Amino acid sequence: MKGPDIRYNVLIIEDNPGDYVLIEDYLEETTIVKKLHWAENFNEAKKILTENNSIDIILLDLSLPDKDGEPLIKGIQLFSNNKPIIILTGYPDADFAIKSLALGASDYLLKDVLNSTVLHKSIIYNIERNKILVNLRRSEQRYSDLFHFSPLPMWVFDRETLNFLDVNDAAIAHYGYTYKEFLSMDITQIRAKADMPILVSALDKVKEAHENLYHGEITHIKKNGDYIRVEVRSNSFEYKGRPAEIILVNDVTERNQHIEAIEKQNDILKDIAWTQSHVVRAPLARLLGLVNLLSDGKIGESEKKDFYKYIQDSAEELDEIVKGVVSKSQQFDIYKKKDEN
Amino acid sequence: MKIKTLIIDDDEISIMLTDILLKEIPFFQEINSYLDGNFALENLKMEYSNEIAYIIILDINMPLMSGWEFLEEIKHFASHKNTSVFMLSSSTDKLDMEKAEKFELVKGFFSKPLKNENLKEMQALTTN
Repeated sequence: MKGPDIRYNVLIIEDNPGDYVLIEDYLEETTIVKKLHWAENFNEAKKILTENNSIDIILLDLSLPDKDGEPLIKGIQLFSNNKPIIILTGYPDADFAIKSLALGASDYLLKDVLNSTVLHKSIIYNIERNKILVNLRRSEQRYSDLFHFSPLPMWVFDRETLNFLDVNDAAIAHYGYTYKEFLSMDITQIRAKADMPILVSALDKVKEAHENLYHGEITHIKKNGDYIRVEVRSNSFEYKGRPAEIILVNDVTERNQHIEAIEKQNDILKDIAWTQSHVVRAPLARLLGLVNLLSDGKIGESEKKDFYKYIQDSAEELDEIVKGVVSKSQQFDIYKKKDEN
Repeated sequence: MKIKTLIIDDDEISIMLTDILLKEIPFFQEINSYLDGNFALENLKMEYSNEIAYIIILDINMPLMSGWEFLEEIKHFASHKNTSVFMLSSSTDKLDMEKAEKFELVKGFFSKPLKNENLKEMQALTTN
């Protein structure tokens, strides 16, 4: 039989030498085998699979002396490196063979009706189909990783029940709930009570699907009871058949505290500036007036003594005010109140 | 026209300094000083006459009655034709200057300490 030029490394796991020889013959006819490996039991198969990662497909007999049935399939899958597994079985086990597909086997072949054409088609078909499946699984994994390893907290919730359907690692780390705890909760449980009306109106808004919505700043509660201010974005999509909402959260609590502290400092600095211009200027203006008159020579000798006293008083008043300004500006530490809520 | 000059300031030394300067110029006659705007207001109200030109040198920041309150009171009976108020402040706050412009009675705004040229300016603004 003529086949395409592609050849594969095949592992046959079969304890019956007669059956093995038969399959070997069929395979030779197909001319698609690069190298044929034979394992007579589970342990041998395990050894071959661990030492050799160039196996393209596994043909597996369901009853081996050291393992059979479901545990055998699961056992082989641990070492199969995601390569397709074709189950070989006789009529008595036909029902179980079908079940094996649900366990992750790629195909099953009945030994009684096996021939080289059937084997050829099954091997090529399953290897090619498996490549597509592996790519699809990788792509799903990539998307799942994007969600789970996002540095910002994210979760998915059911738009009708409001239950959490999935949460990522950052959400677990930030809010303090375990994955299991999250999945047993609904989104109202992390919301501050005062924000509930916002939630209701937000849920109305998201009914128009597939729109990236910015919900502004709201208050969430962590497991330890801490209140945090977060910016929330959402988008709606279908998750495992449910109308769902994916949420991205950015904690701005610290940023807000910084802004608040800076604003407070700004007020104090403005106050100091006002003091400079109004309070400081009063004794200073007096000093200037006194000195101007003295230097103009308009003051008689008898009055000069009083003038010097006035100058001294004004200078002392000025000194007190300046001391006040200094202590006022030192009073305020921008980071002092950071831990207070 | 007869001229009466009023100094209203809660700072005694500031009053003394203004008084010394005013007395050097004959234009400023009958100089009276008040530490409290309330007294100045009462006196002015009692003796106010259209036959007399009033020059009022008014401090803004005073504890009992501020310069602004004093202005609000006298504008009910005093005419800008024979009454000239000169605001005197220890600061040169832009907001204060803008506020002062809204009063017809206010003819000038000076920051302390008063200088001789300020007095000449006052004289010019008054005779206008």
